[in-house]
Amino acid sequence: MHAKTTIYAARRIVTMNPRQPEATHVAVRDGRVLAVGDAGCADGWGGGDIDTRFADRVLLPGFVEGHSHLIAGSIWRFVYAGFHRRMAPDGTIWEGLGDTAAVLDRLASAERGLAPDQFLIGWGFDPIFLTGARLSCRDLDRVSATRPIAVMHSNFHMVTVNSAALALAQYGRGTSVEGVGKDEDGAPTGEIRGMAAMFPILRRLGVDFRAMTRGEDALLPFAETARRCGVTTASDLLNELTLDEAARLRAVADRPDYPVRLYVALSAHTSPPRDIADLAVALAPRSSAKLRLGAVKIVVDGSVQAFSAQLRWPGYYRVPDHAVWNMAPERLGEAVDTLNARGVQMQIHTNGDLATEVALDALDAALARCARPGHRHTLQHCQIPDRAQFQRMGRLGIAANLFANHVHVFGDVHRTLTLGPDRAQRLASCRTALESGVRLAIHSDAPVTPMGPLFAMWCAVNRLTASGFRLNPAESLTVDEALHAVTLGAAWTLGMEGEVGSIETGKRADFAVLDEDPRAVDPLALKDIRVRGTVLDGVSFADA
Amino acid sequence: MATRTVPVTVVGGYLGAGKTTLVNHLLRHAEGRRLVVMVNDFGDTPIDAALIAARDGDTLALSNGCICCSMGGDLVAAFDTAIRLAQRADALVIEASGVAEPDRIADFARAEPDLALDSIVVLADARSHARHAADPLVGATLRRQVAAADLLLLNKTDLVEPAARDALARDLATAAPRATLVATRHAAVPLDLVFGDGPGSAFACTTAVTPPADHEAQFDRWSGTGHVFADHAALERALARLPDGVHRLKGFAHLADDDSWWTVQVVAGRIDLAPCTAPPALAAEASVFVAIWPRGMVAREALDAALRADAS
Repeated sequence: MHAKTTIYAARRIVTMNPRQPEATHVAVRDGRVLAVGDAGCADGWGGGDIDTRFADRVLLPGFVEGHSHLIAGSIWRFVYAGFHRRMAPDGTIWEGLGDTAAVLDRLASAERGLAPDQFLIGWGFDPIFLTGARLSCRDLDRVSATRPIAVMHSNFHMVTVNSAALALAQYGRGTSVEGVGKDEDGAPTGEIRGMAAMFPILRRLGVDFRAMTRGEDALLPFAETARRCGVTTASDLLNELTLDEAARLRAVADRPDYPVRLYVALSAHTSPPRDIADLAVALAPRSSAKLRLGAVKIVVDGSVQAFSAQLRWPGYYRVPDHAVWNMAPERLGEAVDTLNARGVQMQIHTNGDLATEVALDALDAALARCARPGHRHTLQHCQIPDRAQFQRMGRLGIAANLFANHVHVFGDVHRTLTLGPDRAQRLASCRTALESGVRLAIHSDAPVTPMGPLFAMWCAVNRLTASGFRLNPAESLTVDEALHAVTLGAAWTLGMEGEVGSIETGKRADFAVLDEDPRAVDPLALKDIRVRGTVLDGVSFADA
Repeated sequence: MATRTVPVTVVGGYLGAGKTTLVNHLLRHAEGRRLVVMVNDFGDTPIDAALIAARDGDTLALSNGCICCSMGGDLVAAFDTAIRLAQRADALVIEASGVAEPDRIADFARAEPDLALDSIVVLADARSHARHAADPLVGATLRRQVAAADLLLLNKTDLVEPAARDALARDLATAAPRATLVATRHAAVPLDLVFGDGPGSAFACTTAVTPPADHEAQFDRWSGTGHVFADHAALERALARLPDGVHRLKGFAHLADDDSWWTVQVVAGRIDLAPCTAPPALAAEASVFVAIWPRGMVAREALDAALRADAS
């Protein structure tokens, strides 16, 4: 007596298995791929029920998002006010807003639907893309003079608020707090920059980012966000996990109807390295097929667009240097050494090339003391390393998860303001990474940019900035390479390439359901391929 | 939302400078002050076991009424917790990480209406500060830490030669011109140098408590009364005239023109004035001040004269 076998028929199946790149049928049993080929591929296993629901679709391995955050789902409880078109977890398309008037219109219509005691909170706003006068307190007062309004910027480091919100924080003409913007007459503009100055407002509006990463209210919309862009394995790269919190996560993730596999990395910033290592080692065996635990995330520096990344000479181009270390270099060395010695995988955020250098020094020393082939330590973002740094990564077996979406979203800013034309060329230099023998993934850092592996592929292949400038096309990936980066490549950075990332016998039956084969469309149309959802463990979560 | 404004002390300085030692010193000599201390993480804070009464997740309750909480990774959540805890406390002490900029953490206290920045205390390790300040990776961070200080503790001075200590002290005085510079061993300083305790409270010398005499001998204290200020501008002029080196001056000032009372807090040249009701314990119309500074930095007569100049 065999378990039930389902044979999905598709217009085409792109397997990412180089020995059998394409097929038309995939047989699934026990949530895994049993056989790949034609309609008879499972005959020797006793055959199965042919399922033709995907007969007009193209199946790919479920995409792997190697760098995102759980808040990407729950952030949608606020009103989207961004420049780029985005899809909410419920499938609603929110058009991008091109000027201040459009932002105010959207806020006004949201405001009409609120109860009298509710606050109006927006997110995703990015004034650098907008034409016309900058959004101000006075503009927002026209939406409501009495209801506190706060519009968070896409970087989460700024917020623009109305007078009622300023009053909550007791900000006025007499305020001299770093980050509270003032106009020429000394009145607050409504723009509040930096966590310290934002804190009194966010606190009084009840915005709690940590709470927004916990519970079903966060996990369910996150999974929907992933499912709608074809992602079947998604990461949460920075979680202040405890054993109890891990158990709560798993209770949700393990449900058969929960449509995504989660990889959750423990924050290294809450305890000394030895305690973090103990916790990571204790978390690892609490993993399940749907929840992968045991890795640690370390944040070394800030970000280039906030001028807080650690850059090597010649430093920032036309903006002030606000570089920060989130972990002291000498403490980083200790943490990396301790975690590596305990066999804990590290996901290390470095944006600037100086941060990358310091991280590589730490990894080099740790691996010399305790060699761990297959360690899977990965640099995240890793924005502008030079070839020598990539070659060093290749030598040490360190993977790169590059921020391809950044080329599009911030490429112009980096070229003209933060980095200058020379180092902007190195943004997400995927080809140099591959040439240097570095395992490569590309990512969204959602909600910073929208989750969408097809969009990330479009960015890595075309390298078009928001203004339409082609930023160093010599670093472009081919479509096949980009597909690898969002499937097997990303799976490798999570240590999951034996389970997911390709459609082959023995692997989990995780598929992305698309209208088109990405290899067969104009590369400029990659981001426009329609995603119909996913199959996870052989169960369809695709739209009808 | 809270109704009480909690004074905040930020403790900064590079790894190994003695931040944790200072925090422990403050907790051990709290002497009735109920402190809430936000530390980076408990692992690095060897709080005397005898002092710990109870532990609940991210919070340690100490037997002397003080509370320790962990900053964890999320500064916003940690501040929220600390503010709630500090509602029943006298002061909030925040131990910054070794690479944090204390001025940026102080911004939370400056911005949040329920908090008020008291002062920024920065420690420098007498043995290694010069080397770290010249380090290409962390030098800029150290220099910004030092520049933000109200009180700069040159710590571990028992471990270096006097000549090296003095040379470093000169460099630090240039790097932090506004700060009061004090040489320490084991970060031992009188608590009234660190805490304002509100303008109405007396300095610790008057209550005859610890710290030990050899540290005590490093400081001069002064109290004075009878100063008269014609109006707000006269008070501001008087405070602006205070001699350099007065680390703290606090008290109540009475203005003659409108018979109003003001609390006065001066920390390392930073002046805070706030209107208040007449302090009940004081005779009518008599301003009263207390001050503290490192021994020999200030002449008592000069301080008194600065506050009286308008009247003469």
